[in-house]
Amino acid sequence: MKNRTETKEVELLSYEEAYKELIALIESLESEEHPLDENINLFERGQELAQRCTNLLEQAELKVFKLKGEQLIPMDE
Amino acid sequence: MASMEEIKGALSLSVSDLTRYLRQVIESDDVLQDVWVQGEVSNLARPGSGHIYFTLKDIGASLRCVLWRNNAIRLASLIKEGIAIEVHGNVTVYDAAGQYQMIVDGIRSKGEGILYQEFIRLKKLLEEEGLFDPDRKLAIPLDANRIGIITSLTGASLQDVLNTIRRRNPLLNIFIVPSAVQGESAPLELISAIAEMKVIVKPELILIVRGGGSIEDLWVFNDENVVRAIAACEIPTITGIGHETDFTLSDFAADLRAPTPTAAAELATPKTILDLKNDLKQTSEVLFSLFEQSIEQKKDQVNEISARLTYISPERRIQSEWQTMDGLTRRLNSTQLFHLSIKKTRIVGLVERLTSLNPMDVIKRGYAVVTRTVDYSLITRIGQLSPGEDLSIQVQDGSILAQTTNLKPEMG
Repeated sequence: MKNRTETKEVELLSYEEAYKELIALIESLESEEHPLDENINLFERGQELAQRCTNLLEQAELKVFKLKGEQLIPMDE
Repeated sequence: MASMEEIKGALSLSVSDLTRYLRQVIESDDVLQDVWVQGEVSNLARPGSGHIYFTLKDIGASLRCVLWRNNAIRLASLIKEGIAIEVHGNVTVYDAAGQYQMIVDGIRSKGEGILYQEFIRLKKLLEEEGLFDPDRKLAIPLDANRIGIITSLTGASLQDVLNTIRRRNPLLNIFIVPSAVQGESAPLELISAIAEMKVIVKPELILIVRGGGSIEDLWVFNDENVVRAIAACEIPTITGIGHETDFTLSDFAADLRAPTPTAAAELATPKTILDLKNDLKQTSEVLFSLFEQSIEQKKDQVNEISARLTYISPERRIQSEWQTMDGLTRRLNSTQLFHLSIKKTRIVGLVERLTSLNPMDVIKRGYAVVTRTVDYSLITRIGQLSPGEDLSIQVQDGSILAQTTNLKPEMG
């Protein structure tokens, strides 16, 4: 798999990053053949990514910012 | 109350006198007593009394109008907020408010109001410039994470939009650039908000929203410079201005028009958190089955290889030799058995024949065999014996020793 971001901790990924990597990982599993140990590593990474996405979905809370001057500040509604 | 003569000579008038004078001046003017006036309806009120009150407006001025109940019954259906009409009647003064007003007794719809004419003119101009061309429209991203909103902080529509987005997809980041959405300063504020979005906020999608209002309230979104700024924006833009029936030129310039602010929020979040959860579930399943597949595939490869290995191994050769040997042995054995069985059949025949010759069979039927004790010779005739000789008489379960006493030949 090219452009692998395995160096980045799963816990630091945003939903979009994690989901994107998960899809890329699946496409790689679909299209290429990997050595067994790599195959297992990819699968484990995939499971972690899926779990990360699930957690983020469960915890999701809308973040609202307001432009004040040239700065974006969190907005109290 | 002062007469007209008195009013003309007076040094100082009461408010009532002046108002009455004005009313008389107006009501005696032929033009003002039988006139058609065109404008757009706003501030339409239909109180329980059955009378209808409204303001007729154009860009420069406004005229208060009253439609008494007797006429309202006939004409009420022709009058709606925001539409351009022509009204007929007479102008008078409402003393208590010190306002002149028109008493309407006729209404005809005027297909194109003045604002509408301006709208049409500008629309045509911008259309010819290609500002509204479909191929200029940017695609609305399906998975935008950063969404910019341009609207007033005080309007209810902002809360509607935020609530809708929160309900549909709370994963998103929302960036609000406040701007007036009506009034004189609104065009410039809107234009600078769009610029700030482009330069500072850089969202993936911009919503420009405003709640419902009169045609004048929404007019800022027909401002040529606002429309041009929206058309020129390189970030995909959704407008949600007014109600479903309101179309502004900003709507035409935007990449997508939503009928309301809430609808804009829905179009900005085509994927809800429920969709995301379903997607994720499916994706996880795909991951699983792919992994299983790849392991199965590897197992198959191993099986195939080991089958080929087995095929070429000496063990198989040996097994094959064994098989040949086993075959030969089986053939050998069966030949042997055949011959043996033939022999066996023969022996059984002989045994049967032999058995039939066994003297014991005869004895079993009640006959006895008599032998001379001395020499075991078989006695078959009287002549072989003399009296006093020892004999042995054999029956089926033993033998009897006897002596001859009387020899009696059978008389033939």
